[in-house]
Amino acid sequence: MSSQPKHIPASHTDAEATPLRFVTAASLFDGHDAAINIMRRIIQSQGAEVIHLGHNRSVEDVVRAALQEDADAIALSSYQGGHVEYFKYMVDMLRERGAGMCACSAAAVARSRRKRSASCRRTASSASTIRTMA
Amino acid sequence: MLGLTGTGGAGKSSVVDELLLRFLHAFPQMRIAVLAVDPTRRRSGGALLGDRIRMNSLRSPRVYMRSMATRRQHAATSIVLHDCIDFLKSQAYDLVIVETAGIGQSDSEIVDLVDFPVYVMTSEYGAASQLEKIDMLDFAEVVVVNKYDKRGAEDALRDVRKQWKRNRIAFQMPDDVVPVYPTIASQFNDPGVTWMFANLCRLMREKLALPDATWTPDIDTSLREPRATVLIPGNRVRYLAEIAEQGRGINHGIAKQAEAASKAQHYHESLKDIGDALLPRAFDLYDHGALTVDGDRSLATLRQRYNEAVRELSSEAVALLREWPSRFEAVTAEFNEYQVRDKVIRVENYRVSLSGQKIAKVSPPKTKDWGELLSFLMRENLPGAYPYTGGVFPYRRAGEDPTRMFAGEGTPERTNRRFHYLSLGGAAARLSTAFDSVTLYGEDPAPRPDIYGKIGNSGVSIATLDDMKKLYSGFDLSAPSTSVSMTINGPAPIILAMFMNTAIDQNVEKYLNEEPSRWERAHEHIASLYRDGERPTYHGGLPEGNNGLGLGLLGVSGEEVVDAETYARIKTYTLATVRGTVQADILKEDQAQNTCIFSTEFALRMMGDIQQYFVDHKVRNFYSVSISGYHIAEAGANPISQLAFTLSNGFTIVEYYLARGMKVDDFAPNLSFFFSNGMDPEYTVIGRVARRIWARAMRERYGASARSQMLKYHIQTSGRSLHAQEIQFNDIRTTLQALYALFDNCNSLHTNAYDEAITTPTEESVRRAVAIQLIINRELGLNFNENPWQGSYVVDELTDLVEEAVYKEFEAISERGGVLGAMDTMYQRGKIQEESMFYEHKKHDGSLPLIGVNTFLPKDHGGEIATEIELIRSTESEKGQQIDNVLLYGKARNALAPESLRTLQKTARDRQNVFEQLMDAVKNNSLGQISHALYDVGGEYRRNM
Repeated sequence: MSSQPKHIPASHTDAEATPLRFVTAASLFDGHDAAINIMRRIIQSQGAEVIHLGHNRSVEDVVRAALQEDADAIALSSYQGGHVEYFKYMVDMLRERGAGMCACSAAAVARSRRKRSASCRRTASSASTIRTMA
Repeated sequence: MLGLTGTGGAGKSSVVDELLLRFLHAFPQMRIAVLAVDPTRRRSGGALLGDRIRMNSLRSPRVYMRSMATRRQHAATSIVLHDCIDFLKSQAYDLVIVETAGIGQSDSEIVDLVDFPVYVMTSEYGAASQLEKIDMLDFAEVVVVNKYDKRGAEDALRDVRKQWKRNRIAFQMPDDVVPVYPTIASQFNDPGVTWMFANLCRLMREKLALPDATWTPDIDTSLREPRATVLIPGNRVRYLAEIAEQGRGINHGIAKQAEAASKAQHYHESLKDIGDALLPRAFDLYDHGALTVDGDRSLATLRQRYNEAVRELSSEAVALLREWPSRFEAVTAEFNEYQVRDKVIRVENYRVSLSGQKIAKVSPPKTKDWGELLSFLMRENLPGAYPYTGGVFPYRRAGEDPTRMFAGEGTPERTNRRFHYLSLGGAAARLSTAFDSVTLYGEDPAPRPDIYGKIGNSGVSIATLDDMKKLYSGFDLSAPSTSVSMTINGPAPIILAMFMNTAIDQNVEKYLNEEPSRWERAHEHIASLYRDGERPTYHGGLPEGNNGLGLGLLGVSGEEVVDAETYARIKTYTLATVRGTVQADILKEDQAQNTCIFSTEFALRMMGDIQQYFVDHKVRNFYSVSISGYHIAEAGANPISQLAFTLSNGFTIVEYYLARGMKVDDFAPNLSFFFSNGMDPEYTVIGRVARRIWARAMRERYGASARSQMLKYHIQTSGRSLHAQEIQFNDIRTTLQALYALFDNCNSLHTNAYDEAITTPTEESVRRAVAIQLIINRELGLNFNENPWQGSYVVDELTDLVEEAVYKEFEAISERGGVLGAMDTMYQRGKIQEESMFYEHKKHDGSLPLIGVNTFLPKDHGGEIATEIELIRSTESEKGQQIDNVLLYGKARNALAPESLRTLQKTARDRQNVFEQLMDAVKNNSLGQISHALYDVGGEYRRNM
């Protein structure tokens, strides 16, 4: 998080400009929402509008929201495997449904790992992973 | 054009979602657009548009939804809203719903934008005079008083109706004609919402001259009042505050008793010292005659004072003090004998060190002071005695370490092999099962990519009874040395039903084996079922230790291959015998872990159904729930919140089960707990405090028996405390946490593998994690002793500190209406998130030192992972196998009981015991099929922020 940008590009924090719109969610069958909650808060604080879908969201849910909401970007966290399939499917579906804008999926892939007893929101480890991945 | 506005937190999104579901259902052609407006934050210019998260109806292709930010200060409706509405009108939508936030006082501009304004509010508006300020009560065509299950809602409904009439000078209007409707939108299929919906349609038809034919829903409105499910009766909702008050009272009482005991002893010693000829035995009283003496009054005074001090002692205190010398003797002699159920157990009291020293298993206090002793006996006591602060059993179990390692990956076969690997050579098989996330969310494996990628990752894929049979094959589930734990919550009732059937069918198999000719009928039946297709099999070879038990009846239910009477007998026996735990804790799912799939109320009802079934069928050795703090802690809560939330969830379950009419001693022994142990000081005493609070409440508040008073718990070391940096250091952290747990007498322990910070553990890393426990259990000398924490000043102090902190938190939750009330306002979730942020900040700025992470960094690199890690993933063929299996299963089994899902649904609708029906449904239906059938009758989970 040390390399966290202070601002989303200046042109977008301009009062005159239309705020960027993000769809945020955690992937299907994934309840780990601490990382995406922190990310969405950071995104909001930088002046963007965030349509938050919460955890356990299918590609269909995310793409539908992105299209209906005319989102500029999707920020999605995925945990415990399956992210390659998920993201590919998402990009394919966005293309197929004619998402004209860049399918800019700000994908926060927490390195997958099993959490014993099924849960853990390891906020910082996920966040630091984002840094590594970004 | 329908406009909904209302105060924040009134449940607008839920109301809209419930209306959408009804519109979509009642009018199969209708296309609906929804516009939801949320405020822009003035400072940042950003906005959280949080309406979609609550709405489950958006997946219908007939709904379009758009979230908008106000982008303008001090206003609820956006400038462009007008244009948007016009645009949507021009599109082919039959209905446009506009949802705006506002307090109803200055935001009535929505009225001008829509044809039909609706105002959503709750009973929380303050005094009735506040209603006069609400503009919307003038303009709204329909007023919804939501959250009708809240306190004061009936008064609110009356006041709002009165205000509505006053505003329109329509005082004569009867109440049921006033368009003010009470609802509980959070409730699945709430009759109040349905009645409101019917009237909304009627009023819209009237006002907007809509055609009757297309705008009249055909729905059942025989019930008009919202139907609140009362889980905890009104006169009990202060349960947590009462428990806190009682706990403090008991501590206060003990201090008083200890003081009296000390005094009594001092008088007794003095009287002995001056050679009083009439001195009674300790704690006996002087006869009345001895209290008046001629001459010197001081002897009589001393005797009187002694009598008074002894009289102050409760009979329990006197008994404790009287028994003490013999109990002291029992734990300090060479051997001790004690009784468990109907067995007498004989144990050696000492272990001899290499230096020839006798190390005591249980080390009792040596004090001679009655007050100190009484304080110890009432606050602590030796392990195995009320209030069980030191432990629930007098001694640790011989021949069975608390080790319970969690495993699950890929196919059932692969996990079965891992289980056998872990158990090989061990005296007991203590299995702990991790399910993959497809299973955790109640779905079947499928080729769709977002499902496909998750199959068999981070846990085992289980979709059918056959999968379950393979998973535990070769373990005799009815053997006293086998115990199985299953980490599953949302679909827990279904998975548990599969497990019970697996155990039953194993015994059917054993019955068939007794007399090989019995197999004939079974083989014939199986052959007839799989005439054309392949019969399900265990793929690959059996691992060492797997004798194939459980695989004989793949593809069939035991019920089909033996006569009904035999089956019933085997079933009864199995249910009474099988040993294990299912997590099934829905409260912490909603508070922290997020694997809820059903509406919370329906999920809780099914938890109660499981427990009721356990009571009815005498399931004595299986825990129906593992009330879990682990996930609360992993989500970021500190140890105090973990403990307080978990215990409060436990008491909530107790109150709910009592309200359902179960007897405390029938269900309390089926409850178990699960905590995380991290590095914080409070983790030293988490078990001690939990046991003390639980035992006291059980005995004093609920009048429960000793067996119910004993809180038994599993510990898993904290995954959150492990770091990807300097990954090898993680074993050191885990070792210290395991030490906390074992010194605190946990009943069961999982130690994390060091590489869990980044991946599913390998055999190598799991072996090291098991070694941590083995080294403490078998090598570490202090651990010869079984109550090492007792008598430590700091541990005593920590115990009292944490106990008081938990009581404070109980009061905080109680003020919010108890656990369920606090969940409504997301109190627990909010607190967990706050504490998570606090930890992360301190970790980030270095004020919380983490070795190898933010300090003591290596010279040559920045602390990033320096180890090659093997990544564990399920393979393509494993995924394919699971997809094929579930398809074949459906083909072979569904048609055998075509009515079973409908019967299940009817059971749920009639509010009968769903688990009872699930025991049958899993014989012919897959997990996904059953989950979907239940969504229709119990409702899906609605997400929270």
